[in-house]
Amino acid sequence: MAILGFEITGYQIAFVVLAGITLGSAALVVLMPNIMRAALFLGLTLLGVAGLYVLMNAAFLAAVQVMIYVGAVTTMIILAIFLSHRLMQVGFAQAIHNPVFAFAAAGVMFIFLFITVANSLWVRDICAPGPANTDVGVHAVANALLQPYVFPFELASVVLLVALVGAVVIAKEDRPGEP
Amino acid sequence: MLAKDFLAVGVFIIVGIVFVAVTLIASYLFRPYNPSGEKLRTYECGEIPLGPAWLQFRVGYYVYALIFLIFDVEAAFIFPWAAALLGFSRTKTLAVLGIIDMVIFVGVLALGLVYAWKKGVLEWK
Repeated sequence: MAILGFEITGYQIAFVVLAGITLGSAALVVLMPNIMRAALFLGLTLLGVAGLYVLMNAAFLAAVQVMIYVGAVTTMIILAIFLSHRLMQVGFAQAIHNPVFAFAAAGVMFIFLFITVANSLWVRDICAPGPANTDVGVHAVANALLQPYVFPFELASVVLLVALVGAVVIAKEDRPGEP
Repeated sequence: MLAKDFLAVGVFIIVGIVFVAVTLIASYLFRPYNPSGEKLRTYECGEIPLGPAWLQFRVGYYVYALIFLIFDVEAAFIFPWAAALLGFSRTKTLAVLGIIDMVIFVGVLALGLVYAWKKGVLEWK
């Protein structure tokens, strides 16, 4: 399909749509006056990122993104809003209290991401132009986890154990004051 | 190309959005609009609702969410492992090693579950 003389593939349309959903809902996360709606739009942002992973041929990463970020992390954030009294009652206007610092932080983040993107070896540089041809699927991830990266893999379970114990300790402290 | 396999997912999402939009717009166009206080009240299984729905929930829920998150991450690790173990079955030592890896991984997390259980966090009081 050609629009205005440019050859446009379905892949590019999908990318523009997904990037639009991701950026648009990310903007709404920041702009929504109601923090509950902001949290729900965060879920949509993360879903858009999952779609971008699919376009990059990383279906497994997309599945993990949906399962952990959209499924669990967004749920956690929404629960945290449910649990905090003030955020639920008062209209929680999001405001920039220090624009200079905000711009500086955003600028540093942008420079960091830009350098990372510019220095990354993209599949485009290795293979033919177009969407990725390499398999970044389940098997590649599993082989990496079980052969060269066994130790980090086992260490991940220890990190999760620490998180679990931490959650238990925090919960225990909350017990006496509970209604 | 893998992205093509996900075309069905894209079509599904678009059909889902269009279906809901068409249903809502059609019902908006054809329904009679005659509201009253009774009709506009939040439906709560026939009961008259007490207070707003936006109230503070018990902190106890958060522990469940945290533990769910941790085991969700664990599941994300088990999934590729299970898919790749079939490929490992060609060489026996690799398969056995793979199973031992996962036993250690799940064992460490099971320790955490036992700890949470012993501390009584999972009990609903």
